[in-house]
Amino acid sequence: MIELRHLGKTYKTADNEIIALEDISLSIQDGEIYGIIGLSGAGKSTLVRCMNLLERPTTGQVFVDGNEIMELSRKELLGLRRSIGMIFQNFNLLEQRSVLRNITFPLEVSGAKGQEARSRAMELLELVGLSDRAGSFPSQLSGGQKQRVAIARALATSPRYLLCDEATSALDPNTTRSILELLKKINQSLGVTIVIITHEMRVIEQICDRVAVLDQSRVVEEGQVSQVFGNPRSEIARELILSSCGGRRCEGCSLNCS
Amino acid sequence: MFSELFVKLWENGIILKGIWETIYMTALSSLIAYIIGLPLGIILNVTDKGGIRPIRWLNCMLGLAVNFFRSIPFIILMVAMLPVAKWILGVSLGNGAMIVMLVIAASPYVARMVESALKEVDGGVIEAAQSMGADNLQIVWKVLLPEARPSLVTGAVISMVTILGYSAMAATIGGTGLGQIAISYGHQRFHPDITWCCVFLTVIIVQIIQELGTRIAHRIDKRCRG
Repeated sequence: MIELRHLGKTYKTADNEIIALEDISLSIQDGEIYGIIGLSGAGKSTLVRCMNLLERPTTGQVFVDGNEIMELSRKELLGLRRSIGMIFQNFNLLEQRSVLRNITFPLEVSGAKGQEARSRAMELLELVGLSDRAGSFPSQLSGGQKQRVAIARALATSPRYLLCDEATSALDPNTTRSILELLKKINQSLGVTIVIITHEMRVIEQICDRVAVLDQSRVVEEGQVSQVFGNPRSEIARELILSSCGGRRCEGCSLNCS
Repeated sequence: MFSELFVKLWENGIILKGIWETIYMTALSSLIAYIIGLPLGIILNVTDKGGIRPIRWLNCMLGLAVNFFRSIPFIILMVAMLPVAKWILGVSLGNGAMIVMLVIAASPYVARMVESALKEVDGGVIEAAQSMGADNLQIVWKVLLPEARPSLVTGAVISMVTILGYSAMAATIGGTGLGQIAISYGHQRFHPDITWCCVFLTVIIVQIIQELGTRIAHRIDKRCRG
C-alpha cells in the first residue's frame, strides 16, 4: 500500500514560493489500478514523483508498505526505488543501448549477473510482445514499441508498484488502447499495483479502479471511477468528463452536456 | 620549384621527423589532457545546478579555475608556465616541457568539451535511471558517459585539432615539429616554400583526424539508424 498523509510541496524561487501540492492525503491499495487526473500544471507529475522520492515533499508523510520512506537512508531509498517501477511520457530509453540492454539496465544496477539478466529480459520482452526486437535500438522503434520496452524495463526487477507518468500522452488512440490493455494484463497476471497519472479521461475510464481528481495542487474529488463519473461533484471533474465525451450525451451520464 | 634548403631538409629526413614529432606531441598531449580533463568535465556537469549532485562551491571554484586558464592566450600561458614544466620535469626546454604546456592549456578546454557533451544527455533518461535506484556513480558510468559517447568523440576531435595548433605555437619557445620547421627555416630564413609545405602537411594531418573522428562518431551513434 502507498499512503500519502497531508503531503505538501512548495518550490522556492528567488522572490516567491510556488505551491505545487497542498495537503494531499490518499491511499493506494495493493492490486488496484489507481488513476490521478488533472489538467497540466495541477501538480500530478510532482505528486507521483513523491511516491519514489524523485521529488521530496516539503511537508507530510509518504508510507510504502507501512514504512515512512522520507526517513529511509540513501541506500535504503535506492533499494526501495528498485521495488517501484516507473514509466514516462517520453519513454526515456537509453538511446545508445539496444532494447535488450535497456531492459537489463535496472538489473545491472542492482548487481545481477549478465546471463541471468539477459534471460530475465527475454522473458519480459515476450510479455510485452517484442521478442523479435531484442537487438534493435530505440531509434528504430515506434512510440508504442518504445513504451512497451519501457514497461518491460520497469518490470525487470519485479517491482510491486508501477508508476505511470502520462505514459500514453505521446501516443495515438489505438496505441494508447493497446498499451492500457498491456498494463491491465500486468496488473491482473503479476498483481502489480499501478498508479496512472493522466489528463485524459478515457485512460481512467478504460482501466482504473479508483480515481483522484487533482486541481490547483489539491485533491478535489476521490473515489470509485463509476462513482466519480456518474456523479461528479467538482467543477473540474465535470469539465474533464465533458471534454472527453466531446459534448455528446452518453448513456448513464448525469451531466447535462448540451 | 623547391629551394635547395627544402631538398636538403627532405633528404635529411627533417621534415618527416617534424611530421612525427607533431603527431606524437599532439597525441600524447591529448591523451594526458583527457586523463585530467575528463574527470574535471564530469565534476563540472555533475555538480552543476541541474546536475545529479549539485555542489555549488565546488562547481564555482572549478569553473573559475577553468575559465582562468582558458582566458590566457596560449603563447603567454606557455611563457608563464615554464617554471611549472621545470618543476615537473626538471627542464624547461624540449618536447617534454612542451607537452606539459600543452596539457596545462588543453585540460581546461577538454573539461568544457566534456561538460557540454554530458549536458546534452536527456534529463528524462537520467531521471529514469534514478527511478530504477541507480546511484550517482552508476549514472555517470552507465548513463551519462555512454549516452554522450558520440558527442564526446566529436569533442575529442575538436580538442585534438586545437592541441595540434598549440603544438605549432610551442615552436616559438623551443618545441619541435612542423611548427618549428616553418618558423626557423621558412620564416627566419625566408623560404616560403618550406612554410607552405608545413602548412600543407598540417592541413593533411587535421583532415585525417577530422575524417576519422567523424566516422567513428557516426559509427558508434545508435540514434540515427532508420
